[in-house]
Amino acid sequence: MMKQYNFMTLQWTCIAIVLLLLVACTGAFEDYNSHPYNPRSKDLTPSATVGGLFEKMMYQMHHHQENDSQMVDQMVGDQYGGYFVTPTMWGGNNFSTYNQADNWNEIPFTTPFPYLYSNWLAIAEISEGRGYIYAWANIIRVAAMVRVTDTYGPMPYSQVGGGKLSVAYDSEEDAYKNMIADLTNSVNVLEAFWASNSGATLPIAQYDIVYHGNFGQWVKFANSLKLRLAIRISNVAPEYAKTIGEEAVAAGVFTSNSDNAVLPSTDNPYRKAAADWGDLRFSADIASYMTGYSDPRLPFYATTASGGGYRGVRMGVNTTAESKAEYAGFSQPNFTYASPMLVMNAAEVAFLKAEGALRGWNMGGTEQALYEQGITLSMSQYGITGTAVTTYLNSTAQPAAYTGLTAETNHAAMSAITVKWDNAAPNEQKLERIITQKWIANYTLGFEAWSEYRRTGYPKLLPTVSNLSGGTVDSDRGARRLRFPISEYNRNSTNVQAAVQMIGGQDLPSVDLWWAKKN
Amino acid sequence: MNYFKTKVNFLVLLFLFSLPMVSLAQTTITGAVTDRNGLPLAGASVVVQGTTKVTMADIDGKFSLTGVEPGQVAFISFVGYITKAITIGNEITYDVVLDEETATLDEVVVTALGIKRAEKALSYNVQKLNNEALTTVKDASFMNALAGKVAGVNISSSSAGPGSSVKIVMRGLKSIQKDNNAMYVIDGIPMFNTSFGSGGDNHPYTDYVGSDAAADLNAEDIESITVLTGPSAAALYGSEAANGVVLITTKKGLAGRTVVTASNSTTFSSPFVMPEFQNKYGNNIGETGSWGAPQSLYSYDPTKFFNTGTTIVNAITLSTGTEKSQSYLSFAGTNAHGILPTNEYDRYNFAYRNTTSFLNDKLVLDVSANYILQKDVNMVADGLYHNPLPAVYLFPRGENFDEVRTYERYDELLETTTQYWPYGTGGLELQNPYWTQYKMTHETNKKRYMLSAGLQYNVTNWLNVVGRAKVDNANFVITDKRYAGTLPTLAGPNGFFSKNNRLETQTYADIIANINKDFTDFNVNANIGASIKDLRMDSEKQVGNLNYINLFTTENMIRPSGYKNDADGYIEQTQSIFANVEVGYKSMLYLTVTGRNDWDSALAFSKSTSFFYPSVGLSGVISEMVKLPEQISFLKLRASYSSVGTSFGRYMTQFFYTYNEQTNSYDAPKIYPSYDLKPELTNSWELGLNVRLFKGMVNMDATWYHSNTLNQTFKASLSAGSGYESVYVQSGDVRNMGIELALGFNNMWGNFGWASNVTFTWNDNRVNRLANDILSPIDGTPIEMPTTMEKARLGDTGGPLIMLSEGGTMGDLYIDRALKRDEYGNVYINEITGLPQMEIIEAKKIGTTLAKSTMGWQNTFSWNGIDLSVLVSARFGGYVVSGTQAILDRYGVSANSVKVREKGVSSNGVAIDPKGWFGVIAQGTGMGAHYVYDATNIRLQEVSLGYTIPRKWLGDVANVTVSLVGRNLLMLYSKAPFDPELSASTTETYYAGVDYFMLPSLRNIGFTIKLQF
Repeated sequence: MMKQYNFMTLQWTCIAIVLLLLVACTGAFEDYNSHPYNPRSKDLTPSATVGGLFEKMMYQMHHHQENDSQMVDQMVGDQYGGYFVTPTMWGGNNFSTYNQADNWNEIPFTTPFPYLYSNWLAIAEISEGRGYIYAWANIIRVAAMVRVTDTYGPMPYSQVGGGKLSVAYDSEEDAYKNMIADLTNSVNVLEAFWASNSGATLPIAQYDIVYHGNFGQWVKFANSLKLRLAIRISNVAPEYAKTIGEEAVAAGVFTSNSDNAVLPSTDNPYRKAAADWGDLRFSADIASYMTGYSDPRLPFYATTASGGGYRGVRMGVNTTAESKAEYAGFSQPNFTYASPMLVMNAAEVAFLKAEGALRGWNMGGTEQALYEQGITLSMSQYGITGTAVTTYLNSTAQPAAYTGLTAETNHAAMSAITVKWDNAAPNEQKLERIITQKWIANYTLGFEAWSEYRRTGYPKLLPTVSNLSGGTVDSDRGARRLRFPISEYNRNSTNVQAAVQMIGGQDLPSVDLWWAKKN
Repeated sequence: MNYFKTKVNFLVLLFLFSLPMVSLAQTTITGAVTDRNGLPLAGASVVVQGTTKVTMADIDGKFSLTGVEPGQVAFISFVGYITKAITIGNEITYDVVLDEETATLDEVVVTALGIKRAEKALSYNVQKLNNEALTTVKDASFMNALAGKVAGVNISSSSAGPGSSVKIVMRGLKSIQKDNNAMYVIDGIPMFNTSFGSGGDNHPYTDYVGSDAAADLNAEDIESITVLTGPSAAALYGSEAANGVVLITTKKGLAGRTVVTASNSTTFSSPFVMPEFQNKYGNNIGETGSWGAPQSLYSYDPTKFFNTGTTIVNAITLSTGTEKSQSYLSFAGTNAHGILPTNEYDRYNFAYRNTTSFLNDKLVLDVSANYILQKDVNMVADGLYHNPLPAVYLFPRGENFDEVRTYERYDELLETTTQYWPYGTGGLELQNPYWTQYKMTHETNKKRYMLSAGLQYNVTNWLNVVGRAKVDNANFVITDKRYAGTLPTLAGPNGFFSKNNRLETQTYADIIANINKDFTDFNVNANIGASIKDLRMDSEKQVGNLNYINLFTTENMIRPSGYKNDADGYIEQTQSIFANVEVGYKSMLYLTVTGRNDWDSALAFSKSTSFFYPSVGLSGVISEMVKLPEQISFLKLRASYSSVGTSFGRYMTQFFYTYNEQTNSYDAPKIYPSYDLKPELTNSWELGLNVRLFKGMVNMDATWYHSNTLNQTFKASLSAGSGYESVYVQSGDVRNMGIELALGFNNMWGNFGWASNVTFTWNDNRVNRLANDILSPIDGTPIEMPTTMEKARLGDTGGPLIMLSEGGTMGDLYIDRALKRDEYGNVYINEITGLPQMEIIEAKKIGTTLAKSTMGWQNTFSWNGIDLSVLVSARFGGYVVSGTQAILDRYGVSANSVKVREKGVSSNGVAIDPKGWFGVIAQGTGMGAHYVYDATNIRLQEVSLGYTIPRKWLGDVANVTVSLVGRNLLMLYSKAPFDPELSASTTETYYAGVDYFMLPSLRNIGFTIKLQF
């Protein structure tokens, strides 16, 4: 009996030891429950933490991730802006035919918001909402978010943050004014910071993929962006726009191509979508203008078509399973995997100034000088100088008619506008000239192109080949905006309903945005 | 685990030794001990009551005992057999036949932690299957052989052919977010059933699929399978057991005899349910679709593309041992060729197991080792990119298919051969189907070993302590080669290569004290223990297009463009303590109480450090309590309640950056940081009835269950304005209620035996509460959630959707497209196009994908060593969706398209162009409800015929068993254009029963020859 008892004691002791060990063993659980390859904040230096976040935010100014680029820039901005066309049918519900599915319609909203703000909110928290880091982040925020308001109209802006999960929308006017105010603040903070730190090597510099820690350049970018915003609202808030526009130019904007804001790439999404996937082709619109002008930038913009020459594709041909194959041999964007992604260039700034001058703003030059400066800057961006440029500046060639695969897609040229400046021309023609050349210079900034098209009616673009919108989109005017995301109706219904009221009570693609009343 | 029996023998011996010796007239007796099959039981012990006379049977089962007296009683016993008493009379020779333990009414089943329990004590449903159910004719994945044989279990085999994973769902879908697959337990030790690369969830872009850990097992090594459908049965296995458990008991060596078996099992496979095609109309030149004029140039049969699949399993087992030490050794080679060219699955299993007792049987050591080599090539379930079927099915009917059999042609510029396919991608990324098979090679090589050791110490006759440990490590090398000439979407101009090295390790250890003590009227049976489970994975993957043409190495990948490097891994550890106490009263009433506390590493950084879950069960053997009519041999009522906790997923409790392979940088999480999560909980009730009538001739097991799964973790999508995509919230209540019924009859009339078994399952699934009324973890304001949650679009835009809503099921099927109608209800015809139009409608529920009930009916006839078994299985209710049929219709290659073309289609007297009609209703993968089918089906699931050649016919050398089996022989009723029980994905909850160029299910016919020496 005694022996048994001993055994018992022994066993229970063993079990007790094991149990104690168990309880004590959970100390490693925090390590176990941390991803072996994905770092936590404590694994990174402060600059690396914040720096990594900046990189991600910056690509929201022009999507680089292949799917985001395809679903946002390529299908919407670049296509509605006349740069590219998607020849693929997919499920038959496409932006090109104005019958995009709900879950596609929301992507230009639901992609930049979380990608930008998850990073921006973290930076706001780390920087406690002040200092040069926060000022820098705000410039990027504006550059990314202006694309969203220009696509949908009202958007959450000033109310974002503070732990709110359902955020109220800013009206378009408020959004613009708030963005402009943010740019002004950022310029002030960064100017002061850069005045005392311009020689320093900042640890954050390696994460600045645009200017490599040169905050003087970020100031110029912010001012240039401010000018872009001012011009956009120049029809609807003329006095305010003039003040802002002149303030921006006075504070220093882009003047040379070395100022250009570009995002580096090792896997250019346009190249990938066009050459690898066959889902992207040069648009009939830009092909028509540039071939008509014998534009020397063409070889840099597009590849030659399989039968020679430059051939674009018309929007809305992708209604059959065969269309992708049929248009395979048409021109593609001529990019390599390493081609950088444009955010803003000096040529655009010159054209913005030219339009400002046309409106009587003090832009430091005449309309003609600034217009020609824009063309010259754009040409030199591609290494084109000398007589090629002069010839172009004096060209009176007109855009070419479009010849497609079938007679039904053929179309006369949409405009007779020429390159050569005509000081005697009416202002409207001057505006068309400026916007058309700005459009060519802004190649691949699709959202800018589509916005300016809606604001000014220029450049004149071909209507879609098949309009399947069921009457909600006018083929000649094109889509004026995108409907609010279905997910906002599901998750933020009160606020999105209020936003619908801000645009007149109807959430339709035919509703003109605040600043886009023309064409 | 036979230690109870061993202990009983031991006790008997002790008892016998202690009796005083009596001396009487003495004689010598001899005899032989055999089992029911006449096999000698070497090592059986013969003990004469009241004496020290004891002996053991020799290798031939023969024994001889001197000095015994007539009138004395001898006990003949053997491990695993019922002890028999013989009274010594005047005879000298006694031939004793022992019955195996399991042959009694008082069945013993393997339950939690590998412990054997009397079935009557159990308060939950257990279903047992013996090795024959698996090995009559082997399937490369043994679980496929279980279909239709157990109640409460839904087995969907993967369309990816031999060796691919199998989806096992018990008692309905419970978790909205997690996978619902049952858990596997081998000899009491949980096996984490890993599978990856599953198809179905991302079609049409699905990748290749893989096998799973359970498919690696050699069916020959399995002694028996016990299926515990309910969570109550499994509270002791930990969290994963909420979904039910498949308990596998493997073979041990046999004491006292050496048995060698050799078997060969050969199975031939062919497509079972195929779409119906047409060959009458050809294409218009240059078009992929076959909407042209009638053609008679070529007769094309897509089924000809398939080979006859073969699965050959060769196995040898050796089992030997003494009363003290038994060993089991086996080898099996499985070589399967699927019905697609180049698709193969090969596996080699080596197993060794030894059980030895020491120190007067006080110490029992059980060690085993398994080594598995497995390889599979081009395992495809569905989709477009890696699947030859779209090109095979859609091949333009006016063209010559023989032309493309030579799938490559020499390209002078590339200085190599390249793909020949003049028909274009057809909008569906079509390639030459032979190219897809021969020049796009996906190969998985797995090396896996499992080592386990268990040591049991019998402290007293009522207490023992068992400690066990097991490691299960698998090393995978997965390569994907695509030759130059492959579609540019899938490979660069010089080819594509991907290589993934993956290491999975599982370690499990436990220590358990087992108490089994009898008091006057009571019996206490308790197990108290602690366990640790540790799962690790590490994977490194490189993907890229090639620089030098068709040179498949990682160094030859073009960098940086298109090159991706993906490192992944995890560690998940669970430490647990548990107790299981069963108190029996006079073998008639049993109360079981269990409790388990888990410390899970996934909980780290959250407020909960561990979670506890209890269960309680009561089992009453009525037939022992009251005198029942003689016809009722056994009647048991049982009830149990259990609660099973499950941790939420790993890494959900803290902020970290994730690598973005495209931007080569680390992304901030887009999930709102909210880390206070609670474990998921399944609370369930079950009531059951077990009846045996007429001495076991008729038996019935019936179970009613009701479970609620609570605190489910949802990734609730947030309004974009929040700056985040989603937040983890916990809510939800999914109720499953159902009936499991097994009804059996068996009887012998002389040499003729008939057994008839029916299994029936009815399950009612209901989402009681979705993630509504959730307050923001940050500011306490309600988070706005849609009242319906879209879980899946079963195809392209416009196809049916799975949406969850309160009061609905987890498989609710909705449509949001319908043909536009005019004010009279006629289909509207657009005046310009002359075609009808689809319009977007508010999502409308049309049914559910879940089955209402399933049934299996097996009849087995035996006569003089011949066994014939016929199994019919049926599923009632639910819908499936076929994108394949829509695409076949749209491309004009289906028999249905010909029917419409010839009969015409019209609305209100206006004829509609058939091609245009399909262009509207079969757009994408089919619009709205146009390609939704009733999933009800009845089939002849299995027919098997077996014959054991009498040993003496073969000169007493060997037992030879020959069997023939056919599976999926005949579809007796089905309205769907594909096999509705087939699934492309075995891990996805919502994509079951969606056909997107899934490989057809297989009709298997095979034979097995088994020799036992």
